[in-house]
Amino acid sequence: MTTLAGRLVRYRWWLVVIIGITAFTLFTGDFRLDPTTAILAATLRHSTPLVLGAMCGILSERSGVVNIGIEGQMLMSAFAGFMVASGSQSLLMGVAAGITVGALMGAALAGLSVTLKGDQIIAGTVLNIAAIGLTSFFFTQGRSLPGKTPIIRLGPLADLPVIGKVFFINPPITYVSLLLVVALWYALFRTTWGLHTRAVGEHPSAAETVGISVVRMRYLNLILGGAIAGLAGAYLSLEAVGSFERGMTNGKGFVALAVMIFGRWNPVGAWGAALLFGYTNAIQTQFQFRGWFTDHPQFVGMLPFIVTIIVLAGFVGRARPPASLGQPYDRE
Amino acid sequence: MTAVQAPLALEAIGVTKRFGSITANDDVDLQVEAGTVHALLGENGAGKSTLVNILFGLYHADEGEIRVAGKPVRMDSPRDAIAHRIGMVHQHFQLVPVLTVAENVVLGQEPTRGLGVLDLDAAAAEVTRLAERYGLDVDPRAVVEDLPVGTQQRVEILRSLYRQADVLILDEPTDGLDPNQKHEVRNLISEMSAEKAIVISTHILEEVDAVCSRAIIIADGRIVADGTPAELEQQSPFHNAVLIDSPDDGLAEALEAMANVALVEELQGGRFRAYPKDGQTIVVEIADLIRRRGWSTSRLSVEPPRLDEVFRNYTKPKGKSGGKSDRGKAA
Repeated sequence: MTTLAGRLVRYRWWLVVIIGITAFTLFTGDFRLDPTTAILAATLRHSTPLVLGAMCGILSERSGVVNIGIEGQMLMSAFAGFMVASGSQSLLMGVAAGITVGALMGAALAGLSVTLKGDQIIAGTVLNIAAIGLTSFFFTQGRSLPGKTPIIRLGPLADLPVIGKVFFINPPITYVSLLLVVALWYALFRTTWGLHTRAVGEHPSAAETVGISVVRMRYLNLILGGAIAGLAGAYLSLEAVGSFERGMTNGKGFVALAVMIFGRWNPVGAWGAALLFGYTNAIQTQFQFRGWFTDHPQFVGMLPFIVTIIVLAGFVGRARPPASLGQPYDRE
Repeated sequence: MTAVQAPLALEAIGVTKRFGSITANDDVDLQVEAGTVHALLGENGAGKSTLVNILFGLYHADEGEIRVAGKPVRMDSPRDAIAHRIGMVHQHFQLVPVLTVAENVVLGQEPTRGLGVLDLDAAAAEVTRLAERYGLDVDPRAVVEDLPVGTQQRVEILRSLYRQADVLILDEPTDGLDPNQKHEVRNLISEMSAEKAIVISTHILEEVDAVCSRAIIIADGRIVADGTPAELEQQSPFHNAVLIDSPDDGLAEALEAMANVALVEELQGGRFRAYPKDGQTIVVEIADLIRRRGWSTSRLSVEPPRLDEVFRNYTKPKGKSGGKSDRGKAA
């Protein structure tokens, strides 16, 4: 099946999907270069917080802990990033604060679910509710940022047609998220850390019998994952919007979970899934530009959620989560 | 105990472990020399698993001491046990189903290309080398969940061999295997015992006869018997008892008249079983007797060694002290 024909047969449905999406994109882009490029660039932009959130989920769940608190981690970090950046007038400090708060939220989840062995769904819900409450309570109007994170042109690569504008003219967190996808994939499947993480998530007592500390690995991964969710939060307030609004994550942390599942707990798969979700958002904007469905904009607005439902209904049953997901580990 | 020149490979002294109000291990002593195979015999729930888990650092003993190569050690986790070169093959295999054989074998002690990058080719090569050395048939790149139980067991054993364990603990090693696989595992145990100290926790008595040089019987968390399989068999009520198909009506009286016969039991179909006093050998004298009287018999045999009777004696339900087998009670 390694022949080209064999591959074509094996991936025929993916080919149909890719060709279909390409045709649809060209159609909505009016078969002109600039609008089509804009759709693709918006796709990447919308996918960034989703793929970062999904990578937080992958780190947690690959080590055996359900994390439905991504939404809360992102919201709290978006808030912390905004407050610190507006206070210090330094975006870099803001991003660092977002990452730090995300990591702390990850540590809190680890404390509740690993050390106290509480129900992981409830622990995640606690994070979400705490984030909504705390950010709404402490947020004050009238603060402003020194701008947004700057767009960086990557030299001659930025001059490439289509691809240059989509991938090589972006702000910093977007670049970092793309690097993280590759780095996390490599770390998960090619390093001892990744092997230990997967072992702990699949069969914690087996990992423990060969001297791997389940508690240590789960803490490490939840904190690292929290830091990545923190980066997603910083992206929202400091890179995408340039401000903070109450509830600004708007369900992105939950969509990130769908992205994680659709991507089969694999960073590269999750990136593909995030692009699909980002695409549904990008296409919405383009519809508005073209003046389509203006009588019933709510149907266009439903698109990302319809895709979420289709993905979850179609893939959750078939995707195979880490075997010990959701179970607190107890040695004696 | 006999004085030992070389330090014992593994020693437990006065180990006690309680779970709430239950005492799972009560003042347990164990001495394992290199080059021997020790059996821990006991019913389910007798405390065997608790003891092996303590020896592997999964549980921590409330009292007592573990010594490895003569030195007292503290083991808080399997990592400590592995560092002291103790390996364990678990009854419920501790393998990660979605990982490959090689990944499972090296897990926790992976060969790397530096900076934590896995060298899976080196891992596969090492697994192949070990498998060939011990005559095990395993594909290092197969995914464990696709393998039959017997092969998974080999992977578990390979893992301990990879870690160069000097002491190998096997918990119910032949549980769930077919007869051919059992035979293969026992051969492997015998082969490995040449250079390692091996502890087998089991309730299968034929295993003890087949591979063990020493057996310990555990009941209610205590060690109730300790000896070579032959020594333990001598404690059987049937030890050296003789079966005779009666050639003549006078046999029973003639046997009872013998000085070293404790008891004669009449079985079905005119068959008799004679129990000796103090486990002496009486079959020769009985043969003499039959020859002198000019009888002929179709059967005259010594009862085969029966470790299961000893085991049952010691592990009978409450009410029996279990300290001594009581001979002759069978009648």
